[in-house]
Amino acid sequence: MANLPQDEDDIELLAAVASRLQSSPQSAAPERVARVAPQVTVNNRLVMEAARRMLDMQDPPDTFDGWCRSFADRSDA
Amino acid sequence: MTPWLEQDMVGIANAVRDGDVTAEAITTICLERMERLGAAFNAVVRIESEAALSAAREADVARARGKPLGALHGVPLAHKDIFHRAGRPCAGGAKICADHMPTDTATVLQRLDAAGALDLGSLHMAEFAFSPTGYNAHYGHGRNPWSPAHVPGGSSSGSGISVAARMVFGSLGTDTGGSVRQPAAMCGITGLKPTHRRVSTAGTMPLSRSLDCIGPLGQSARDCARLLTVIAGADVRDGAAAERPVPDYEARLGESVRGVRIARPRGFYDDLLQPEVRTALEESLRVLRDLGAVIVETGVPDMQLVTAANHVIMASEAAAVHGRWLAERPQDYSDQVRGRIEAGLYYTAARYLEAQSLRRVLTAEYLKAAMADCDAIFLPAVPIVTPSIEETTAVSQAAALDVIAQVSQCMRAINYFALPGLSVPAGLSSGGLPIAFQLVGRPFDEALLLRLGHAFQNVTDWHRRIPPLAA
Repeated sequence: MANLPQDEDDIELLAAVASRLQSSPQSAAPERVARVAPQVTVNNRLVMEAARRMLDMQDPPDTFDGWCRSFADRSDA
Repeated sequence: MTPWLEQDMVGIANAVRDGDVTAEAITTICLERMERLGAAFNAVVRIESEAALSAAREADVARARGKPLGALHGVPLAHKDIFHRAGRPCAGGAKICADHMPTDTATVLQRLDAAGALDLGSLHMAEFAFSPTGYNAHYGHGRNPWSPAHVPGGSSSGSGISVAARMVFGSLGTDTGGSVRQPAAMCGITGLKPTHRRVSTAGTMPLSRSLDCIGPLGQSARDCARLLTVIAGADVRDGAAAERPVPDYEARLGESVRGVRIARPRGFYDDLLQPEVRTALEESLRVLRDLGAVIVETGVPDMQLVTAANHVIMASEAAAVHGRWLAERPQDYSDQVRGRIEAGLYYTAARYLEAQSLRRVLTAEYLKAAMADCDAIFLPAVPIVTPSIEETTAVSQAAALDVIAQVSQCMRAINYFALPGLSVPAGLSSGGLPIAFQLVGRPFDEALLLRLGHAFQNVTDWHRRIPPLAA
C-alpha cells in the first residue's frame, strides 16, 4: 500500500493515463505524461476545490449549453 | 501606393457602390499585393486570382445593370485557412489536414458571399489555431508587417498581416483565447471577438467548441461593425448559435459616448504592463475621457482559478477533437502544439464539467468586481511590446512559453466568460510596433464596444497608419 498514490489528484491522473493507454499509447509515454502532469495536477486541484466551495450541490452542475441559454436571455448577466 | 488603399473597408464598399472605382480594378490591386507582400510576410496560403477576378467582373456587371447590391458588394476580402469552402483545400495550418478538401461551405462565408464580398484566397494561421504569436512549424512563422523579425500575433496571423498591409480590406478569424484580438493588436488594426454563440461556427474547423468564436478583423471599428452585421445570427446548421435578433451594428456608431462609464480594473492587469504600453493606454484613456466617457477604477477577482478552469476546458475539448490523430499520427504535430493538446487527455469528465459549471459563478464574480456599475471594461490588449520571433522560438522552451503566456494573458479569460472583446490600435512603440487596448462588454453588447471604438478612431489615426514596408 505504501507505494500506491494517496493524493486524489494523483490517483485521478494515473487513472486517466491508464484509460488513455489503449487509444493513445504515444501520448501516454512517461516523458510526455511528466511534461503535462504538473500543470494538470494544479488545475485539477484548483477546479475541484473551487467546485466544492462555490457550487451549490442542490443545483447540480449544468452543461455549457444550458448556461448559454440562460446567458443569452439576459444582457445584464 | 494607390489612394484607394487608404480607404477602410466601408469606404471602399461605398466607392464600389457609387461607381468611383470598379470591383475589378480594386481586386487587381489587392491580388498583386497578395502575391508580393503575402510572400514577404508569409501571410497567404492560397490565392484564387482567376475566381476572384471573375467574381469582380460579375459584380461590376451587376452594378451596371442596376441590380440590388449587398453591404459588401465587390469588396476584396480573404480569410483564415480554417473556414470550409466546398472544393477548396482547408488545412487549418496543419500538416495533418494538408489534403483536407471540404464538401461544405462555412455559414460565415455563405453570408459574406450573399452580401457580395469577394474571396481572394486563404490566409496563414497557426497550426490548428494553437498559437498566440503566429508560430507554425510546418508552414513557417508569419511575419509582422511593421517589422518582419517580430511576431504578427496569432492564431489568425494571416488575417492580421493582410489587413494591416492593405492586401485585403477585411478578414475573418477565429478566437478561442485571443486569436482575433492578438493579431489585430500586434498588426495595428481593429479586431472583434463577439459574444460566444453570436456567430455560427458551422463549417469551421474547431479547436475548443465552447470557447471558439468567429470574429472580424478590419482597419476600423466601423469595418468590424459591418462585417459582424453580415455574419451574425441564428443558423439551422449550428444549433448553438444565438437566436436573438442581429442589430445593424453600424446604425448607432455615430452616437455620443458622453456619460458612458468605462471600468479600468487595477491590480492583475497593471502588474503585467510594460512602460511603453502603459503610456499608450493612459493616453487612450485620456482621449476617451475627453470624449465624455467616465473612467472608473475597479478591481479584479483572483484570476488563477479562471486560468485553470479555462485550461481544463480548452485542453479537454481539443483532445476530444484530436483523439484519433493523436493516436494515429502523433509525429505529424509540432511538439509545441501536441504537448498543449495532450494535456487534455488527462483531465477527467468530472473536472471538465466542474470547469464548465464554474463559468456562471466566475463570470458573475468577474463582472461584479471588474465592471461594477460600468458599461464596459478597458483592458490592455497585449501587455508587452510585441516580441520578436527569436524571443518566442529560439530560446529555452520555458522562456518561450513564458513570453507566449504573457501575450495572451489579458485575453484568454474573456473567452471563458464568453464576453465580447474589441482590440483597438492605440499607438506605436519606440521600435515602431503597434500597441492596442481592449474593450470588453456585457453579453451581446458588441454595439457599445464598436461605438466606443469608433468614437476613439474619429479623433485618432492609429488605425489608419500603414506599415512602411507595405506603403
